[in-house]
Amino acid sequence: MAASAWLPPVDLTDSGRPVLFPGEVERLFISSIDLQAEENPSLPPLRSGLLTLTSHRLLWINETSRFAHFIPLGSVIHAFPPKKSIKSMFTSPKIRIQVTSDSDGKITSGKGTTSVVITIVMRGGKSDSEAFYGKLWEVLKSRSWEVEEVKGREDVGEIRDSGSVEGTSRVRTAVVGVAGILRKEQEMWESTDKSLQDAFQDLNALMLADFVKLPLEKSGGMIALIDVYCLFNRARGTELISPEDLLQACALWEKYEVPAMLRKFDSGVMVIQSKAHSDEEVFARIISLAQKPDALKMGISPSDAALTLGIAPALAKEHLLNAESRGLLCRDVSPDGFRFYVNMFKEFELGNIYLVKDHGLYKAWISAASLSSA
Amino acid sequence: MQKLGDFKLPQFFNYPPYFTLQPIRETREKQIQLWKELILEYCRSQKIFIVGLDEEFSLFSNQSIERSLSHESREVFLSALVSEGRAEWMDKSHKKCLILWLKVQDWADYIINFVRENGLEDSVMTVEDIRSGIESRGTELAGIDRGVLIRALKLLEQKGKAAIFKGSSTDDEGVKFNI
Repeated sequence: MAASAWLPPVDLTDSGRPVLFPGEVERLFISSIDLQAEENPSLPPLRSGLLTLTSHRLLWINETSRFAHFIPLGSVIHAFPPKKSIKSMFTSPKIRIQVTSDSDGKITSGKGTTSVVITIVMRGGKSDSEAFYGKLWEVLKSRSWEVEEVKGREDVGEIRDSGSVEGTSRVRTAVVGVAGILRKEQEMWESTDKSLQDAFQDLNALMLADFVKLPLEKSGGMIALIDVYCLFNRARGTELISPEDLLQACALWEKYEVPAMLRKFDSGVMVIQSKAHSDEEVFARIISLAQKPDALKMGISPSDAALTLGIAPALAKEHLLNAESRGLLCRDVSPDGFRFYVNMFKEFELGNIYLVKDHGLYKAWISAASLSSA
Repeated sequence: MQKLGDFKLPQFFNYPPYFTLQPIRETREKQIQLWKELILEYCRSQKIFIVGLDEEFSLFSNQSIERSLSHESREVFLSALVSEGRAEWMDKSHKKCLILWLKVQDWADYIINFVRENGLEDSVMTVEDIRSGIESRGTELAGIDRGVLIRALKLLEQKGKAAIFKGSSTDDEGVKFNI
């Protein structure tokens, strides 16, 4: 007996996608699923397909997407929770559902005379049977397929008690039309973390609306991530995002044409940096600052750099440390504080410690240093 | 440029970062080399053999820029000299360091030259003579650390070029050279 004998077929598009019913929305996908009618060996099992839980049906599509079958959720009498036992730890998780069928074991959409138990076997290594079970129950409870039945009756004009049915359909028809499209999109995201998706969508939208762009420009092309976090949550008002959400959202920016990037300094400080704001450009500005006569003699502090670069002192220090690690600057630590000088160690000659070349940084520094002490 | 005693200091002695131990490896390497050279030159010119880490050592501070080397940096630079064989720690706690601006072998060679140039091959000299006698004035041997001198003489003794023996008084040994 072919599988089509006991499970109704699903229409597939040319590219192997299932044709959904009006208002039907996909809720969850799991791969490597077997469907078996364990009690009835004459009903052939379906092996290793993609299981799609929709608002209306359980779709099973074979690996090559050439044929598919479904179980109407309206026919599901009961769903048994996944068993937890020592044995079950070593075998593929299974979820059993009891489904109405006719006397041959064929699953029907309408009322059947008896029922069969169908086992959903999850062969994929990463399947979370508890999550699937939870989702299945949600969908079963919401009984979304009944809306279509109501609507169907409306179309056919079978309304008897216009008051109550109309009232019902007014609430229920929110699943079609513009509201329906929005809800469909919403539900598509539900298999991923809701707060993350919201955060991402908002951030993306806000970025496209120059949310971060303007503060970035004002801050000299760099803002500490913690500041972006505060700015963002303050603008949002409610349903604040967590730092982890923000981090993940920023990491996604790479995929979009967003002119900003997430960057982590050696010290662990994370910033959002404008892409127009390259390291080389910052270094050039730092070096030129460090070679001014005052800076040659006294060095530069993070606040000096902050003023020149137009960024926050804490971030200026990160840049100075970065320049130091590249050998462009070196540090001077004293009771007066932490200052940076242009790196002149390269100018000093081993084996010839009194040598000062005629032109160059060393000479310039000597002049600058002695002028003030004169 | 400044002087410490009669020793002329290099210009970079006034560069504040010179007195802060640099964290970046390449920069620190250069800084260490510069300090090693400066320490040896200074000690040679001032005939300093022993540097105490916790004691005042004028080379480690620069009053005009108000900077001085931390204890840690002093130890780093001196240890670098020790690794190169140009210095020795005199104690386990690294409180005192013997600076060998000439290595013991170099001293031995220097003494041989000194003996030849002064025609002292057949005479007997006391250790103290070698350190402060008329002949040694104006040479590196003047004021040499006694411990270092004896080690150099012992080296020569091992090679059969000198013989050390106890003098009549307990506090001075004599040396006869056999070049």
